Amino acid sequence: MSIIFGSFLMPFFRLRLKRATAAHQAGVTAESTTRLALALLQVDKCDEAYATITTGRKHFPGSTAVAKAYESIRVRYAKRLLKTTMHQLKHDGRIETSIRAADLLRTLGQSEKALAILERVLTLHGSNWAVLYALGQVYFNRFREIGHPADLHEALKQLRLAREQSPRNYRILFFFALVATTAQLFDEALDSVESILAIVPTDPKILALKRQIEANRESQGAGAAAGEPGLFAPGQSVPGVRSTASTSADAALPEHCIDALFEAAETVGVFVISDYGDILAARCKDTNLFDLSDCNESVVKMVEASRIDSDHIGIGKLRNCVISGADWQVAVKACDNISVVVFLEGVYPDNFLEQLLSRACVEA
Amino acid sequence: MREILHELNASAATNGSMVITPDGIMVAAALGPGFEEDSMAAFAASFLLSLKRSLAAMRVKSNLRSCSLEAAQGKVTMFDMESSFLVLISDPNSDIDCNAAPIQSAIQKIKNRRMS
Repeated sequence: MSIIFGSFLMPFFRLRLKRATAAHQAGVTAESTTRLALALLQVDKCDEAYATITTGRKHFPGSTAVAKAYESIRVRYAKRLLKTTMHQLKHDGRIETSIRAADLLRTLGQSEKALAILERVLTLHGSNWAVLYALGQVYFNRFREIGHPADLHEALKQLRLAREQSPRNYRILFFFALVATTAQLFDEALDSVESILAIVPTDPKILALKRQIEANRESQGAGAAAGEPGLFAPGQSVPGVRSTASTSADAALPEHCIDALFEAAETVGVFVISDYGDILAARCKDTNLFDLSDCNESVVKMVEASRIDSDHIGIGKLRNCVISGADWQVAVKACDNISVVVFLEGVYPDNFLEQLLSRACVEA
Repeated sequence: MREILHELNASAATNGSMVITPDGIMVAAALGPGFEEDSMAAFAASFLLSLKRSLAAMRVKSNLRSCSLEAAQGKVTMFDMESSFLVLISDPNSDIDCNAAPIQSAIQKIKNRRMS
C-alpha cells in the first residue's frame, strides 16, 4: 500500500526536490541543506541525501534541524547499506565485509547481531586489530545504551588488544581515549592522546580532546590525578567475560622510514593511511604546488577511490597509483595494511616512489 | 578513431585503449577480450572525477595530465585530453612512457579528429 502511495506522490517529491535544489543553489543555509537532504531521501537518493546532510553537519554544527535530519537519514542509509552488505557477506565472507556489517548493525542499535558476526570472524580468522576495534566499539555502544559496567570493561579490553596490534592507529587511539575517559582512566586516556599527537601534533580534534580529558581529571579531584584506579583498572577481571589472546604487532611504516622519505629533496608531503582510512602519519613542507594544510580527508578519499576503482575496473588489487601534472606528481603505494602517499615536486617515472621508499628504509 | 587506437595498441604494446568523455560515455574503443567497454568507461570516469575533486580540494596549481593505476592483474593509464580522456590498458609492470611518441601522436590525432 505504501509503495503504491509513494509512487503516486513521486512527481510531487520530484518537484519538491527541484525547488529544494534551486533554493540551496541560491544560498546555502542550514534550512536549505536540511530541505535538500530530506527531498533527496524522499526520491530514494539515499547516497546523495547522506552526503548532503553530512556536509551540512560540518558547516552548521549547532543546527538542531540539521542534526535531526542527519539522524533520520543516517538510519535509512545504514539500513540500505546493511541489506547490500549482508547479501555480500553470504557470498564473500571477508573480514572487511563482516566488520562493515557489524558497524551498520551497531549504528542501527542491533548490538547482539553485531557481536555474533564479529565473534564468528574471530573464530574463523583469528585475532585481527580491526575486528578487536570493531568489538570495542560495539561493547561501548551497548554500554551507552544499557549501562552495564561489564560492557565498558569489555570495550576497554578489546581496544587495549587492538592497540597492542596496531599501536599507531589514529582511530584506535582516539576511540580508546574516549572510552578510557568514560571509565575515568584519565592517565591511560592521556597516554593515547599523546601517542596521536606524536603522529599529528597539530590535530585540533586531538588537542581539544586532551583539554577535555585534563578538565575531567581536574574536576574528579586529586585522587584520580594521582593514578588511583578508575572504575576498571587494566587487568581487573569481571566474572563470565570472555578473554581473547593478543597476537602480533602492527604493520605500519616505521617512523624513521617516514622521516627519511619526507627529507628527500623531491618530497613536499608524506601521508601514511591505514586500510580503514585513518591517517597514521602526515608530514608537509611549504610548497606552492599544493595546499596540504587541511587535506587529510581529500587524501584519504583519493586513496580509497584508487583502491576501490582498480578492483572495479577489473585489474585486481591496487599496487601503485601515480598522478601527474606539468610540474608535480602524487604517488600512492598500496601495501598490505597501509597506503603511502607522497607529494612530489617534479615529474618522475612510475617506479620512483618504490625507489624512494627503498632508499628511505635502507638509509634509515 | 578506432584505427588510431588499434595503431596505438600495436606501437605502444598495450592490450587495449579507449577514448571516454568526462561523464563516462565511451567514444571509441579497441579493447582486448575480458574488458567490458561500457563498464570500463564508467569506472574510469568515476575514478577521474573523484580524483579531480580531491586535487581541487588540495588546490593543485596546474591541471592533471595523466594518471596510472598499476594493480595485480593489469595497468590502466589515463591521459587528460581536455574534453575527453585516453585510457590505455596494459600488463602489470609494463613501462608506459607518458611522453612516448606513439602516445603523444595518438593524443594529437584524437584531438584533431574531435575538433574537425
